[in-house]
Parts: sequence; C-alpha cells; structure tokens
Amino acid sequence: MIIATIIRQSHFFHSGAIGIDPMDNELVRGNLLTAINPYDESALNMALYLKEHHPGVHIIGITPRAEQAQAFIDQAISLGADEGVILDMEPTDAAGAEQRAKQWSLGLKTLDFQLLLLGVKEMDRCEDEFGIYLGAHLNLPVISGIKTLTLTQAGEVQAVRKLEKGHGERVSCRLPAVLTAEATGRYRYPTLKSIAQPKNTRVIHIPAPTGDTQEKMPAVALKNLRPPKVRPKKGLVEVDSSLSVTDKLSQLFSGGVTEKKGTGDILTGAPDQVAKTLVAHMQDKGFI
Amino acid sequence: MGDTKQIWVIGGRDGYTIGDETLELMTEAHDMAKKTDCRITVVIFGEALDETIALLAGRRIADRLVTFEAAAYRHYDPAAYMAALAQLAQTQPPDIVLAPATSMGRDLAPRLAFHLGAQLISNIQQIQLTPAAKIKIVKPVYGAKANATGNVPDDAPLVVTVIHGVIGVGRTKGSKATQIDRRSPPGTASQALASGYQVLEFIAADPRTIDIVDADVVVAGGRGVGGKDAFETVKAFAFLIGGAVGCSRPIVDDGILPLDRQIGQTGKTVAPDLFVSCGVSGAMQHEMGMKDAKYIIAINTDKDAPVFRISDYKVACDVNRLLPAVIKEIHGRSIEEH
Ligand SMILES: Cc1cc2nc3c(=O)[nH]c(=O)nc-3n(C[C@H](O)[C@H](O)[C@H](O)COP(=O)(O)OP(=O)(O)OC[C@H]3O[C@@H](n4cnc5c(N)ncnc54)[C@H](O)[C@@H]3O)c2cc1C
Repeated sequence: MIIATIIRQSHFFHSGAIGIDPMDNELVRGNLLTAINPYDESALNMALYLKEHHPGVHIIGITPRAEQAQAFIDQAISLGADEGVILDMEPTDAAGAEQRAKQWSLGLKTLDFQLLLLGVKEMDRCEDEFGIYLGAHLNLPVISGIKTLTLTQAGEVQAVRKLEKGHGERVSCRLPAVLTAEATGRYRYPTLKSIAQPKNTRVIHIPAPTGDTQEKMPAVALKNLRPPKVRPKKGLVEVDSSLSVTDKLSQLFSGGVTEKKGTGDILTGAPDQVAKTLVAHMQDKGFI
Repeated sequence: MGDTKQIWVIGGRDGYTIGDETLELMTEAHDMAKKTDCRITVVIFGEALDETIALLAGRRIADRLVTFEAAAYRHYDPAAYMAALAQLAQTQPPDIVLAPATSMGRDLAPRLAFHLGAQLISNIQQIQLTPAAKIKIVKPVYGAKANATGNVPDDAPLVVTVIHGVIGVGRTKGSKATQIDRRSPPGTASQALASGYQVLEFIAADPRTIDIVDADVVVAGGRGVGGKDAFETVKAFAFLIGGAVGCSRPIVDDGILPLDRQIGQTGKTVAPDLFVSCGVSGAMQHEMGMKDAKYIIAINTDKDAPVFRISDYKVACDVNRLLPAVIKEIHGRSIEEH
C-alpha cells in the first residue's frame, strides 16, 4: 500500500519580531522561522504509525519546489518516509486554494497511491479547504479533520473525525481516498542513523498553468499584524453603576464584553452550610 | 447577480445540536441586510427540529427558514447535505453563503463553493457589505498572529466560514415574518460531491479525557488542594458536574497531572462556560489561561487571594472539607429529584 503525504511550509515568528513592511505590505522576514506545517507533520505521523503496524506500507513525502523543499523531504525520510517527491511547478502562493489544488492535482495524478494524507489546516493562511479541493480535482472521497486512523482487513480505512467540544465520530471509507489530519501534538525525532542515510528523491515537473488555470489574485491582502480582536457583543451595554470609574470606562469601551467580576460578597461558613448554598447557586445558574 | 443579494446562512452544529454559531451568523447577515437590499435564507439540517425552528424564526431575521429534517441528516454527511444544498441552489442560487467554521462548516463550505463555482474565504472574523454592495472581510493569517483584510471581487458568488465567538450572539431581533420551508431529502449528490464515507458511530466526549480547551466546564485544582490523594476529590467533583480537570503549574511540577492539564501562560488557555478554581491563588501566569471563562467560581481559604478579583462567585473555605460536602449535597439533591 502506498501512502502519499503532503508537506507544506509554515512560518513562525520569534516573539517581538513580527512586522510588516509599510512599503509593500509584506511580512518582514528577518526573524522568521520556516518549518513543516504542524498539521502536515501530524499527517506524516499518522502515515508512519500505519507503516509500523502494517507490513508493506510505503510512504512518499511530497512537497512543492521551494528553497527548503529538499530539507523538508530529508526530514520526512529521516522520520521514516521511504521516498520524496518534489513537485516542480510555478509558485502558486498568490492563488486561491481551489486553483492551487488544481495545480497540485496535475502532479498527484502522475503518482500511484491509495491514501493521500495531509494536514487539515495551513497555518500561514489559516485555511482548511485545500484537502477538500484536492479530493474534488482528483475525484476522490475526502474525510476532513481526523484524529486517528486505522486500516481494516477489508482494505478500508477507519478514522475518527474531530467534532466540537471533544466529541468525535468514527467513519469508514473505501480507498483510494484523501484524509486530512488534525494536529495531534505528537511529534517524532529522527535518529542520527536515519539522518545520515541516503535520501531518495525524484522531481516531477508540472506544466505552467494556462487558460482557465491562470492564477487568480487572492481575495485578501495582508494589512496589519495584531492578534484577532474580540468584537463586542451586540445589544445595548448597560453600565453597572456599582463599578469604579475606570471599570465603567473599560466596560463601555469593551462594548459590554467585560462583565462585572470580582465584586460581591465572599461566601464563608461551615463547609456543610457553604456546600448547600454553593450547590443551590450552581443549580440556579443551570450548571447542574 | 440581481439587485437583491441572496444571503444563505448554514445552520451550525455543535456535536449534534444546532448551536450559537447559527445565531451569530444570523446576526451578521442581519447587519449586512441593514446596508444593502438582502434576502436572508437560513438552512438547517437535522432531526426533530421543531424547537430550533421556533427559536430561529422567533428572531425574525430570516426571510426564509429552509429545513431538511430526516434521519439522513442526523450525522453530518457531506453527500446528503450537498444534495440538499444543490437542490436549493437550483431555484435561487446564493450570492453570499455564511457557514460556521466548525467541523461541519469547514468540510461543507469548500464542497458547496466548488459546486457553485464560488470563491471561498475560510475562517473569517468579520464580513461587511458596503452600501455599494462591495464586500470587505477580515481574517487571521500566520497562525492567527496577523490579520488580513481585503475587498472581495463581486463577480462571483462568495462562500465564507466564520469563526465562532468573535461576533457574539447578542439579542439582535429583526422584524421580518420568517417563512418556513420544510423540505424532504432529495436523492444523493453527484459523484464529485459524494463523500464516499460512512459514519459508523458518534463518540460522545468523555469529561475525564476531553481536552480542557474543548470542555464546557473546567474544574482546576492548585497547590491548596494538597497532594495526589486529595486531588482525587477534585476529580470526583469534576466528573460529577461533567467537567474536565485542569490545574496550576505546581500540580504538574509535582507529577500529579500531566502538562496537557496545565492552565496558564505555559499551559493552555481555556474559556469554558463554568470554571471552578479550587485552591489556586490566581497568579498572573495562571490567570492568563482562564480569565476568559464565562463564569468563575473560586474556592480559597485566603480572602485576599488574587483569584477572587476575577471571580463571579467567591467561596472562602477549605477546599478539602468543602468538596466532599458539595459532592454529598449534589447526590442528595439528585436522589430527592427522582
Ligand atoms: C514564566 C512563568 C510561567 C508560568 N506559567 C504558569 C502557568 O502556565 N500556569 C500556572 O498555573 N502557573 C504558572 N506559573 C507559576 C505561577 O506564577 C504560580 O506560581 C502558580 O500559578 C501558583 O500555583 P497555585 O496557585 O496552585 O499555588 P500557590 O500560589 O501556592 O497558591 C495556593 C493557593 O491555595 C490556597 N489554599 C491553601 N490551602 C487551601 C485549602 N485547604 N483550601 C482552599 N485554598 C487553599 C492558598 O490560599 C493559595 O491562594 C508560571 C511562572 C513563571 C515564572
């Protein structure tokens, strides 16, 4: 069985070094670290887990042509992938996810695989649609956002999809298929021996896009660098008259997001009595 | 595109219930409709939807509430959901689709965009429609360390997924009479849209193993709890109220709980509906990880403990004597109720 895993790059900032060049609205790249997208690393991990548990699994690490491409392939092979493929295509950074997936699919169609694994999210773009678009262009089923993955006797995959609030759902799928992985937070480290071993890499050339595959300009442009701000809740803000002037102002400016905290009495007394009052309060609030 | 913008809101599902995300998206659509002529269609899927229909129609924001109600929609199945949306788009395709950035929305939105030939922008924080019907959006990039803003070309339909919690549900109400359009499931979608996978089972979250970040209720213990044995009472209390167990750093340092349970600057950031702090002083580094909880109950023997400054309900008591009494009281009440 051949598992193809996609490896894309991500950028991480040293704190304090985040900046935007006002001339061209580009990131100041001085202190930027480049590494494998953590979600792709998670996908590679899942592939390696299958290889360890099923004889005959062969893993191909695939990355687009870029400055760090060979380093990423070397890292994947050191971790246990069997070979690397560099997709030599025109940079598609400026294109939307659907256009990029179309480009990638041209290269992927030339490879033989039963399972295509990639991270659900691209950290840099905060996007999670690439895998679905790949499935659409390759005409393969897609399971998105999986936490675990197993192969069944019947040659199908079973995976657990991550849902909200810690829930999950177990799904099964015929092969070939595209699966996108959640970040599992479990990482591997290469051994010295694996770092030294020769790395088998091939390059696949993909023709430049023409006609309707012309890249579209991205819809959004990087403008500022600050953490996402919570937008105030809608509705009238009722200023709490018991608050100090500073707290009143902060409540107003937050649009009501800052609730009255820290005021009010402290409940004291014998544990049994306090327990009764506390439980009654939790019940009133609907917590129990 | 015609003069009236057709806005679709896809109802969110949290676990398997329609959650606050839907109300948030409706609020956002309502704001857009204030500036430009828009017709809002809310689409929801599921089983036994009467209560949800009453809730959503009661907001009087949507012109139309389309429901797909059948056993086939109990679990999110891309094939069934896409077939329904494709059928709906046949009569009146949307100009803008707002979907929640949830496990369902993130999967469905690109499939829908692909089907409609629409542009997709995922995980946005804000979408605005100017009076000239131009669309502006704000979304995080670089692992949410930066924001990107932009104008969206309006020559193609647009699908967006919206991050939950940045808009706020609020109390927005409109004045529209919402038309309810109950539909039965159409056949399955074309091969390109079909999921090709089968949902075998729903796995409910277990508060004992759930990631504290995902939990609605978190009970955190600190050094004030004492040692490993005393911590068992904190765990029992958490289990009883359906909470996940978290802790301050010394508890991890002492090997009582693993690092993935630590809350704070060097641990995780949580924002549950209820946070119960037990024997934690509330040092700044800890506070950073829990101050956004919606309701904080703090138990500490020291009336001047910093944690009380950010708590909604304060209890000055020995946690090791209080929690057993609380557990007994909860058991007593549940027996009375039966
Ligand atoms: C760089 C850095 C990063 C850090 N990151 C984190 C982090 O991510 N998370 C974190 O938690 N800490 C972090 N810390 C440590 C932090 O500064 C505090 O030391 C720590 O949070 C204290 O934990 P605590 O409140 O459990 O213990 P203490 O500060 O010892 O407080 C114990 C509290 O329990 C109360 N108490 C005692 N007995 C009882 C009883 N029987 N019943 C009820 N209450 C009782 C006491 O009054 C006291 O308020 C960090 C520190 C540094 C320097």
